Amino acid sequence: MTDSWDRHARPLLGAISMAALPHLFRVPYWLTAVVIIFSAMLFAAIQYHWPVPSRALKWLIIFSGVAAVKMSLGHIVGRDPGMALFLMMAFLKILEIRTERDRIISLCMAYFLLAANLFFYQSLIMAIHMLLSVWVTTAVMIHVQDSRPKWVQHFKESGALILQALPVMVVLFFLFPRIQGSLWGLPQGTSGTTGFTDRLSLGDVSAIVQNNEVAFRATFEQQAPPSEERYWRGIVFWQFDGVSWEHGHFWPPRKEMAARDRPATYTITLEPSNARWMFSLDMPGAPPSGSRMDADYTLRAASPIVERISYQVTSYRRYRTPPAPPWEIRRGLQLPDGNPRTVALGRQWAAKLSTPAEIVSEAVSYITAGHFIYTLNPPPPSPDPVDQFLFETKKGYCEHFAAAFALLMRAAGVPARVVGGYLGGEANPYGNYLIIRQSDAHAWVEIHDGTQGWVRIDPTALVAPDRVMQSLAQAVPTDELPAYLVMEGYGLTGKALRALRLSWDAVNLNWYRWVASYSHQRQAALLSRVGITMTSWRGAALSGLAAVALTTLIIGLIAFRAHRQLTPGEDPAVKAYKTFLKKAARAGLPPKALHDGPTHYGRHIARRRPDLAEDITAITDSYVRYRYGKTPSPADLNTLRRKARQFNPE
Amino acid sequence: MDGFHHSESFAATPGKTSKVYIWLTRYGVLYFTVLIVMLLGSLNYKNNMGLLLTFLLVGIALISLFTTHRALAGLSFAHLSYAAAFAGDRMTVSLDAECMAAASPSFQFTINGSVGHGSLNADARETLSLSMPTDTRGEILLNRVRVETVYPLGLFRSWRTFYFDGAHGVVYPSPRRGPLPFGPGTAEGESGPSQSVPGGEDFNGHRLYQPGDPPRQIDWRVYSKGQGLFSKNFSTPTTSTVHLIWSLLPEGDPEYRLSVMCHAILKASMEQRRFGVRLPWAIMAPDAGPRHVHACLRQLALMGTAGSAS
Repeated sequence: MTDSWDRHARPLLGAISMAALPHLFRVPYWLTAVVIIFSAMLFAAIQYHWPVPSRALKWLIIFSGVAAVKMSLGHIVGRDPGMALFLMMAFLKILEIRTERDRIISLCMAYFLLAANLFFYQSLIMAIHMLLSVWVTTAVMIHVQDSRPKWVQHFKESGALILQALPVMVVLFFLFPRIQGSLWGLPQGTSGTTGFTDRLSLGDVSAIVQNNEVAFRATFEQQAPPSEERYWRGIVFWQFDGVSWEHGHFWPPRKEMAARDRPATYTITLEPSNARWMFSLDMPGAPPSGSRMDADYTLRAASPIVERISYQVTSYRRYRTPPAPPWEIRRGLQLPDGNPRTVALGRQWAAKLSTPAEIVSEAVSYITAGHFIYTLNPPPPSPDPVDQFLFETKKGYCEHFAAAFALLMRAAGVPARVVGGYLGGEANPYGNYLIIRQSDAHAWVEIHDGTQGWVRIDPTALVAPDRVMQSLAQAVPTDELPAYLVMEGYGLTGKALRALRLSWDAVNLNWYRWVASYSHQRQAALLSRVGITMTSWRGAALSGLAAVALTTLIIGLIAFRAHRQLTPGEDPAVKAYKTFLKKAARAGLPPKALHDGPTHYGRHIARRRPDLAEDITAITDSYVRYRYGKTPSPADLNTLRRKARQFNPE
Repeated sequence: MDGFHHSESFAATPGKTSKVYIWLTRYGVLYFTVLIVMLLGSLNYKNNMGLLLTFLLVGIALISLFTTHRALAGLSFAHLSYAAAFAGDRMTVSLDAECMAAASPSFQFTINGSVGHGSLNADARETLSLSMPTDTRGEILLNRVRVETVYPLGLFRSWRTFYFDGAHGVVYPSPRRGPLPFGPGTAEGESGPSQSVPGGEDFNGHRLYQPGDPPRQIDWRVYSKGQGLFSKNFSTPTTSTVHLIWSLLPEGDPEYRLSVMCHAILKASMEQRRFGVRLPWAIMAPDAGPRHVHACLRQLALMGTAGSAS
């Protein structure tokens, strides 16, 4: 096409493709295909001089693209449709790079694509991609400014710029004052909720378990607790309508615990769930900042969790909750209409037995002796699912056992509630933390005992102790396990895969903890160590000043180093030649007189030392050529320097 | 009108170059605007990766500010020279550039409105040239060389001025055929200009050997010294002296008369005559050789301009 096309189309295509790469995994498949085909066409046009996509085709792509976006995403405005359209435009723009302005706009689009990626992905691999992409785009930017076709040079310079800019980035990242709230509204998440919702039906947990996604990670300051103590409390279900359990309505904030012991402090990095539940090990002592704790010791975030958050909690593994107020007891005894046989059995125990402890042990022996089967594939629930489970199928997953146990307790007059959360977690040996997945989802029961307050009872442990002591993989038959659990279980490859996965997970968590989750709070904590309090404007200004000062210092250091190189020193050729003269004099050759020219002197001493004549001539000639020649070449300087260094008359 | 070249060289005014100045280009303004938007967006959405990218790009821009500045800091020009041109032709202006330490990649230099491009590696010397259009005869000021670069990223432009006090180029009038104003004192008639006859009697200097030159014309003595193959130029000497007189030019537009006079001077010079020029504002005594030709043409070039008195 044109000169500009020949020179700039390929680099710009490279920069745009690089920046667009992560988007291709995210946008609808048809768009990925369109982008790949279109860039292949561009590449063929650039590389093999195939015909450039015509004007008509361009408009066809634009119109059909807008229509397709409308059809597949429902809108043409908004974040996702906007990004999809922008992605197409960025590639189409390559067809129009006539002026410098066009090329700069094209590069800005590459940077924009790059920035947009970061709103969707925050992982370490994304950071690596970002660095590489900035490297490529900056090299193309240099290429656009420099008329010489020096690719390697441009990549080198781009790399040098980035390396020098990294310290500036680090300083600004940690010191630039962060804000606490937000300047304008945050977007509402649109994707569905993962994990627990505030309603639990029989069969729900076994569905959650099929999902191998990480729910959260927990980093302990000391030793992580053993498997059987890793009950991660989430939601308390109070209200049972006969089919499903519900969290219920507003709950007043919690009261202090009567007694507590064996604290464990840990940091939870929670994946976005689109719900407000925050998980903690057993009974949390106090809500982390930005959340509240209900009377039933559940933690709730102020708004749905749409991005990864991190919080620190101290929990107590030995505790006594204060006696429950009457309304709590009332709610803990609420009975549904259905499931008559279960309710009748509970009432029968109540008539026969007097204390809650006796009732509990009666229930325990009932379940232990009842030939119940712990399975991931429970039969589909009927209208009275608890009756069906207890008296007919006798097959269930943890929520069946929990629901049945709680209902029995309530019918027998013991306040009970179902708790949803996670049990266990995989310890990552490469970083002292646990990975808790959706597949660790679990449900258990808390009953209210007059003296001890709310106490945990896990009926699943009665039929499948392995689930509690070890993990799901040990507790259910292999053919019921989700595929991901089977694959890693066997053989050396499985072990290697597991090690790889865990170490990568550890690197990522650290990346998240130190970089991706750095916040106003963390900044305040960091700066308070050097005496800057970030709560006031003065603190923010001080940290901003520190950022500017350090940046200036870095740039100043780089400038100073370069300036020293610039101060006119001795001509490198003269320097090398002087070295040669010194060596010659040391070897007993006559020193060069001031009026003596280098050529004459060279001939003179070459006659005295015929063995060195070749070197002397080479040095003299290259010196004369470089110093006095019409077109001094760097090759001469190099020869001169090398020969003078190697010259050894002794 | 080939056969006449004149060039002149000027040394840089010692100790007189400006500092390197630097400021944002409009793309720089755009870039920083985008960065501010990215900064606010990332702060608002607590997007740390966005902040990392923003701060990385800030760092890159700051370093490039400095690189752009440095790209001109090591540059110096020792000499400026030009080859005189006839109005309408292009005048070549050359600069002996030297680069100390830091490289000066991809800069442009402007002399009197004309732009040339250059690129120097660290510790390199090079002759840069630009060709300057000439529309009218006269003097072109070459006393200032403005150098600027936006390397590496185009976000900043740095510039600097080098001075060559008193440097100027001369643009001769464009030669035009016309009646020759050969005045009295002409040894031979107007009609019989003697040709430079190759193979004549008198040795008249050397020229580069060209295929087809008779071997006996080759200067073997020069060749034996290893200086290359040259032909000896022989020509029939001309002893005639002419006077070119302004008043003998056809009446009309002074520019037209200057052009015809220019043609006449060149013709006289080509015919290797001694010639003098009589102009209303200057009288040039008869002489021969390129210096004389230049002096005469210069008088034509400067007619009516400030420099014509000199």
